[in-house]
Amino acid sequence: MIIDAHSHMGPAFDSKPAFLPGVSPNQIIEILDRSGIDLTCLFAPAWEGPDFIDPEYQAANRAIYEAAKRYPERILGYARVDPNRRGRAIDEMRRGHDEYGFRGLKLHPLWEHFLPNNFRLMAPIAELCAEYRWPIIFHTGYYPTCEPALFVPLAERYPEVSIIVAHFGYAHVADAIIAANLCPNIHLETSANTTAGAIAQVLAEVDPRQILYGSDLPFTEPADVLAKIGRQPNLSDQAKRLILGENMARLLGIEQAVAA
Amino acid sequence: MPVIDAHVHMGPGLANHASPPLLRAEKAEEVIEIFDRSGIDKGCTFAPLIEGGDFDDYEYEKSNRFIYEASKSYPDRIIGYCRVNPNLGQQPLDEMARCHDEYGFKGLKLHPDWEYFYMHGPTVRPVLDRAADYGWPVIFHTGYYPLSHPTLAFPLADAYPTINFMLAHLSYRHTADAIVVAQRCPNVYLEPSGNATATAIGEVLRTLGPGKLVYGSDLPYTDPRDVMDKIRLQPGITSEDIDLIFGGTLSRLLGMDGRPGTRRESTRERTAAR
Amino acid sequence: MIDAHCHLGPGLRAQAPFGPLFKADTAESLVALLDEVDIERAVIFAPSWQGGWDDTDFNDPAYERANAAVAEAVNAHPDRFIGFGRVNPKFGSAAVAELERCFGEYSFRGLKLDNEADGFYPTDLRLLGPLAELVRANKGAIIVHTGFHPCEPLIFLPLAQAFPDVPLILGHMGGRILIDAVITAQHASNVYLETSGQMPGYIARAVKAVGADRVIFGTDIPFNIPSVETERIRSIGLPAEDLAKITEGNISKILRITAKMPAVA
Repeated sequence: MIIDAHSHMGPAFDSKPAFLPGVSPNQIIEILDRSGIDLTCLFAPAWEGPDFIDPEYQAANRAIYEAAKRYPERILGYARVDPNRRGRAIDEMRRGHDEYGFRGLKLHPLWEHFLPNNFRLMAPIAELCAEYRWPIIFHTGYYPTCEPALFVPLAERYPEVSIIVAHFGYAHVADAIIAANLCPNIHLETSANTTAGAIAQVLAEVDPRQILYGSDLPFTEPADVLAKIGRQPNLSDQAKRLILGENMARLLGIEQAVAA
Repeated sequence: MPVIDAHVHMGPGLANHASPPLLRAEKAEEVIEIFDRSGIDKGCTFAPLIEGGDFDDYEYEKSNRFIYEASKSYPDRIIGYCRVNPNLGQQPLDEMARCHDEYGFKGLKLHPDWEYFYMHGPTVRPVLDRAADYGWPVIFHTGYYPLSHPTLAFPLADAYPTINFMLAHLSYRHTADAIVVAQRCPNVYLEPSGNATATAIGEVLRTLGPGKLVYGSDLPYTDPRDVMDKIRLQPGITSEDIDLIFGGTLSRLLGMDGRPGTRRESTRERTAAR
Repeated sequence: MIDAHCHLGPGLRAQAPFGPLFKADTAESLVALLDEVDIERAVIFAPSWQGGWDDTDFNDPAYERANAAVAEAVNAHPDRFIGFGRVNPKFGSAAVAELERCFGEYSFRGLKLDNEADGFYPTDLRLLGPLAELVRANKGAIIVHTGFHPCEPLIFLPLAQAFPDVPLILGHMGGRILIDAVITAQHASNVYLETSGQMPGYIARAVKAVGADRVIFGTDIPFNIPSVETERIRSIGLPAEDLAKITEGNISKILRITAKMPAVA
């Protein structure tokens, strides 16, 4: 069972194509099929304008819902919101939960410009995620809003919420490892430009239950990321199973369904 | 309350810099003159980074010796700090021993970016074991990944609970991260030298209080008065806050705060005794 | 003295952490801060939109309310303030329309952009091209926020080169990566370096590298302490002629500020 923790699809790609074709649900399924991925966590890409204006991600979340409805066995929908929208972001999350049946939340502190340790914005969102049992996947990377350390206060304050640090914080791998070792609810996710060396370093220093496979599809070819994990010289079969799917299934609360 | 600057560079290494610093501090007299016109009573003084050229001192031995001579000439003003390259094996430990036993230095400066080591990497550990033995505070240059990012101080602060760490420059623009670390580690202090913005300083005071901020300037690369004003002119700052930031906390970290049983002028006394 | 970099508007109340040091969210309070340090005139624009501060939502991602507030301040103090419009280029034709309003209705003189706050790629001239065209047509200038990734100075070079007749001011002159700002300025003669928050040694280095004609004084009030910024530029030992260019002459030339300043009360 392979679950991809990080994939994008949506109308924003119409005006700015990603690296692989991935605008439509069946294009996503094609990529999943050729990569041997059973299930993917799918959410909107950043809205970039100038033709597609969707600052509250309403159109984008709707498209995710439709894709997940069409391929319920392959696609788990996540909501994406801009925390600066405060009440409107909460409304959109509620819609995602009640109407769309979403299973998690994607946040991008750099693109939407907020500090993940700013509890004025994050507290209501994290509380709702705790209620919904939604993991939160964060784009992580560089200052001013994305360094791994900034997720520590959030993870400490909401130990019941699973926090996913995507991209290993780009070059901040050492920091991502420290953050994961401080907080058992922080998970490090392999997508996009993480190197095989960075993955090896994380494998050596982080509990394998806190490591997740993710691709950032369609910005990258999932097979490429899977190979970077699969060809690690010091990876046990058990750890590999955890990283490729079992951990994500646990975070989503679908272990039983997956095992069945 | 004497004003103590936690971050002062001095020595012949400055002459080799490709871009000359703002001020001149190759000689002790020049540094004292800057102290005088800036209202600085004492400065924790250490070598500048070595950029190569005619002054070849990658082991910082000549530079440390120079600091020692200056501290002998101005025992009331210059608090000597040791600087070493942790990657050189036994040499930095021997140099630290010299700085402690012969020179009477009071602290250690380390620069992960320049000497190329991870702040929490393996080569630093023996150096910090020794600093713990000596009771030295340690000031790290901090800033960006991959080597000097403030998060990397987390494991160090845990592993060396008796060492007081100062993270210089408020970690450049990574002040939010430095605050996260300092909030969780009682032995981590933040130092605003160089280009820390007034807003970043204000945020440190708001979130951590004045007891976690230790004034330092990074003289001669900047004008100490510029850094001082960014602190002193903070809205709402009190004279008690200013006393703590400009020397109160640092004199405690250096063991010279005049508490019973603590020597007030230990550098001078040690020098005089020899 | 003219300050090329000042923020004003309701968005200031919403900023935290790293919020403003001074309460200067009204025209009067900003004038008072400027008076204290003898800044006669200031370029003002909206701060970054950053959600809500207290219990009220402040929804202004396209900067319409923010620009209107700047216009109100300029109308109240035309002798003290020069307005710049702020837009988020992602809004496409709505951003262009807002900038048209800024030049037409509000008589602003330029554009402020900040991709660190507003999440867009400065190299994407689909977004920035139409805005820069408008700035050119109105003989205005653009000021951008710069620092490390994602707003490193060099990322603005394609824009500067595509619009060589539009002055492009790099706010904070790149901060700690001054070298990046200098390289950018050396490759486009319409690029200027702005001093706010910069270390005195780096300002001196910038003047040496690109000349006093290409450096412009700014404070970033209320995120910096006004007197620290004004003292700093005076303290680095510049010849009087260079200092005058930096604190007044260059920006006056760019924005064609020729009228003698009315006396400050």
